[in-house]
Amino acid sequence: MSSELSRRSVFRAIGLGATAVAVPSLISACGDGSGGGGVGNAGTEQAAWPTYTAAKVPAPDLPGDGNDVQNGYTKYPSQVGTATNGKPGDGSVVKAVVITYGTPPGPKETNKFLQAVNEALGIDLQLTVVPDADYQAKMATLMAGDDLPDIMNIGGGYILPREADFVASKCADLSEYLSGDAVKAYPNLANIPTRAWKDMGRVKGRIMGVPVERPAPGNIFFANREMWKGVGVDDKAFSAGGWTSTDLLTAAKALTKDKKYALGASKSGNFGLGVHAPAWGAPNLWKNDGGTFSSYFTTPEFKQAVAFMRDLFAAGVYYPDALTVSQVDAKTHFAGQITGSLTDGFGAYSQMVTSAKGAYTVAPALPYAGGSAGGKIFAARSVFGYTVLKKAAPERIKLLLRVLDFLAAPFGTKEYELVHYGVEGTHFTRDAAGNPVQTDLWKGGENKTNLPITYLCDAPQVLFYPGVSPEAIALMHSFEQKTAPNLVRNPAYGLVSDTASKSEAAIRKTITDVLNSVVMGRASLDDWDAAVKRYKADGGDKIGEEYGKEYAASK
Amino acid sequence: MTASTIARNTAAAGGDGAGKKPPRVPRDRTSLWRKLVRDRLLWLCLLPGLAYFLIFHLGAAFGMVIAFTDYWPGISVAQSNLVGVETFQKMFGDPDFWHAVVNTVEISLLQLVFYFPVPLGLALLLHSLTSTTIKRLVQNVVYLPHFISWVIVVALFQQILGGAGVVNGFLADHGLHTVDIIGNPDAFKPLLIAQVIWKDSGWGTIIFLAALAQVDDTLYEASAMDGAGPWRRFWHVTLPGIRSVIVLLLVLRLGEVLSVGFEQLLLQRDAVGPGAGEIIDTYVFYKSLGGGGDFPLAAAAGIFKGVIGAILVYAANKVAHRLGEQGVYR
Repeated sequence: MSSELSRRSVFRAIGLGATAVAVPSLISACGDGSGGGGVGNAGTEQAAWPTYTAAKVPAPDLPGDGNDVQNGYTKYPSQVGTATNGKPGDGSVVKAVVITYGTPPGPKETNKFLQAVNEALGIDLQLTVVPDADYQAKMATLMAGDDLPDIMNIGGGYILPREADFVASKCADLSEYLSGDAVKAYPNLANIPTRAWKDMGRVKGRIMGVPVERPAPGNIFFANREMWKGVGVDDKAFSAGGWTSTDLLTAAKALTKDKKYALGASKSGNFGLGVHAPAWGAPNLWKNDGGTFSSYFTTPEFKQAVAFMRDLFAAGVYYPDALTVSQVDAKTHFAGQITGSLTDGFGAYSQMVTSAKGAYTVAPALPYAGGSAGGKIFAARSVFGYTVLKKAAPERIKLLLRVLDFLAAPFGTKEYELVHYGVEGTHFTRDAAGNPVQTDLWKGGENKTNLPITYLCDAPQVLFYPGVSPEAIALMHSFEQKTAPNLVRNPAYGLVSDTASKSEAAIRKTITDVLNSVVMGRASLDDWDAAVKRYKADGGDKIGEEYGKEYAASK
Repeated sequence: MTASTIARNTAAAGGDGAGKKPPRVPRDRTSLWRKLVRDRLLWLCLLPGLAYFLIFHLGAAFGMVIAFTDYWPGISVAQSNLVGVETFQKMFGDPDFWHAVVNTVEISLLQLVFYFPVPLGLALLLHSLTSTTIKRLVQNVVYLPHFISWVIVVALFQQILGGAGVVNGFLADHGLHTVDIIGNPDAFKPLLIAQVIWKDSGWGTIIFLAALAQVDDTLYEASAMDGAGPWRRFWHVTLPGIRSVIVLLLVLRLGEVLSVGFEQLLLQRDAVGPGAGEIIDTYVFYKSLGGGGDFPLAAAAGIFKGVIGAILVYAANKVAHRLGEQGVYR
C-alpha cells in the first residue's frame, strides 16, 4: 500500500526539485537579461571613466613615457611605502574564480602565501583556479549555473559565449563606485591608466568591471640571440632594425638544421600570426576607415602575411608537429634551444629569461618589414582581462572593491611586495643590493603563478622582475622605446557588438582552421579568399557594422 | 499522516469514483508489495543503478528541451523563448554539420570493420593458450593501455610517429625519407583506428573471454574425436557458442555509431583541420562550450544522435531476431 505513497512522494520530490531550480532564476529574471535586449553602448548614457590619479611611486632609473614605454627599475627601491589603510575585509568568505597557467595551489592550511594574503586582506579567500586549456568550457558552465562566485576574472584573451550579455545581466554595475571622482575612494584603482579602462570598455554605457592592466607591446618575436647571430641577422634584427621578410626567410633556412628549428610553434600560436600580420602591415584585428570597420582577415596585407607564413612552412623552418604541441611545450623547446624563436605575449618575457639560465640571450626581435607598409607591431589590448563582481548589497560591493584596490597597490609598496613576491624570509630574501631573491619555496610552487591573485586585480606593470638581470630589463626597455612609434592599435577594443558577443568565437574558429590549412599547404590561397567571404557572410560584416555604430556613439 | 491512512483514504476516494465495481487494484498492490518484500535484497541492490539512470539519464534528458528554445548560459531554461525547430533547420542547413556527420560515419565504419574483430581475435588466441600463467600475464598486459588517458596515448603516438618523433628522428639520422603521419589528414583515420586498437582491444576481450568460457568443453572433445581439426572446431563449436554475444555487442555498437570518441578527436582535430578531424561531437563542442555558446544547437545535435542510434538499435535488433538470435531485447 505504501507503494502508492512512495510514488506520490517521488513525484512531490521531483516537483520540489524543479521549483528549487526555477526559483533563483526567476529572481534573476527581474534583471534585464533575457537575451534579446542588446548590450551595446550606442544610444545609452555613458558613465564617465574613472578619474586617473597617479600614485606616488619610487623614481625609475629607466623612465617610461607614461603611455607605451613602461617605467624600468634595474634595482629594487630602497624605500617602500604603504598604499592602503587597514584591512579591506571583515573576515568573511570571498569566493573568486580566475584563470591559471600553473598547477593548483596547496590548501590554505599549509600554503603560507595564501595565509599571508588572507591575513592582509582580512578575508577567507576561496579561489577556484581554472586551467587555461579548460577556461572557455569551465566558464561557460559556471555562467550557466546559479551559484556565481563573488569575484570573477574574465581574461586570458578568451571570448566567452555571450560574454557581454552575461556581464550585463548577472554582474554588479560598478559605475556608482568607480565612475569619475568616485574612484578616489579606491586610490590604487584610480592609479590604473585610462587606456586600460577604455580597452576594457563599457556595457550598455555602464562600468561593469575593473581592468587588469597590461603594457603596450602585443605579440613579440622572442629569439635566441646567439642562434640568430650565427646566421648574420644580429644587428638588423635586434639593434639597428630594418630587416625584411627575405632576411628572415634566408636566416631561418640557414638556422634550421640538425634537428634545430628557426621558428617555434604551437597549437594556440597560429604560426606566429600575431607577429607576421603587423610585419606585413595588416590592421590589428579591426581596421577603422573613417568609421567603417572591417576585419583584418579581409585585408590584402593579411593575405600577404598568410602567404609568407605558407612560404616559411614550405621551407620547413617551423618546428614540426606545430599544431599538436601546446604553448607550454613550445616554451620548453625554446628553453632547450631546439627552436630558435617563439612568438609569445609580452608577459612571457621574464619567465623565458629565467628559463634561459644565462645560457643564451632572450631577445625581443624588432619587427621585420614585409611588403611596403609593414614593419609594425600589434599593440596588446591594455588589459589582460577584467574583473567583475556578483550582484550584492552596496556594503559587500565596497568590501570587494577594497580587496581589488589592495591587489592593485603600485610597485614600490608593501602591498605590492606581498602580492608579487610573498612573505619576506619565507618566499623571498634580499641580496646585498636589496633586490628580492626568490626562495626555493616560491620557486617550488608556492607562488603567484599557482595562486594567481594578480589576475584578479593588479598594479600597472613596471619593468622589474626578481632574478632578471639589469641587462635584460634594459633590453626590453629599449625594445619598447624603439617599437613605440610602430604600434598598431585595435580600434574595436572597448566597443561592444551583439553579434560579436554571440558568434565571433565560432566564426573565428572556422576561419582560423582554414588559415592553418593554408599555411600548411593543404589548402590554396584561393581557399583563403573563400574563407574570408564566408567569414564576412557569417557575421564578420555585421560585427563591423555594429562596431561602426558604437564608435560613432562614443565619439 | 501514516502510510496506511493515506492508502486507506486513497482507496476510499477511488471507491467513490468507480461506482460499484469491486476494488480489484488493492489485491494487485498487495501482491506487488509482497513481491517487493520477498525480493527486497534484489531491489536494494538495483536501487543505486536505478537512481543513476533516473537522475543522470532520464532526468538529464529533459534538458533536451533547450534545443527548441533560444537558451544561453546566463538565463534559465524557463526564461528562454520557444523557437520551435529553428535550431534544427539551422543545423541541417549547415554544410559543416553534414561534413562532420560524414566523418563520424566513416570513422565509425572503419572502427566496425577494423577494430571490432580485433578483441574477438585476441580473445580466441588467449583462450587457446594452455598455460594459465602466461595467459594471466598477457591478459594483464593487454588490459593496461585501457587505463591510460587519451591525452597520454595521443602524446605517446606523437612522440613516436611525429615529425620530431623517434621514428622520423631515426630515419633522418640515417639519411632516409621521413614519414608524414601525425598531422597528415590522409593518414588521420587509420591513425585513429590504430590508437583505438592499441588502447582498447585488450579490454574488449573481457566479454568474449567470458563467453568462450561458457562453451561446453565436451563439445570440443566430441568434435575432436569425430576428427575435426582446430579450424573446424572453431567454426562448428566456438563460433556458434559465442555467436549470440557477438551479435549482442554488434547491436549495441550500432547504437553508438555516431559516437566515435570525443576526447581522442578533440585532442587531434586541430592538427589535421576540420576536413579530416571534425566529428559531430567536436562540431558541437566548438559551437557551444568551446566558445560558440550555442547550447540549443548542441542539444539538437544530441537529439539527432540519439534518434539515429535508437533507430539503428531497433533495426539491428529486428535483424538479429530474423537470424534467430536473442539480440538485446525481445
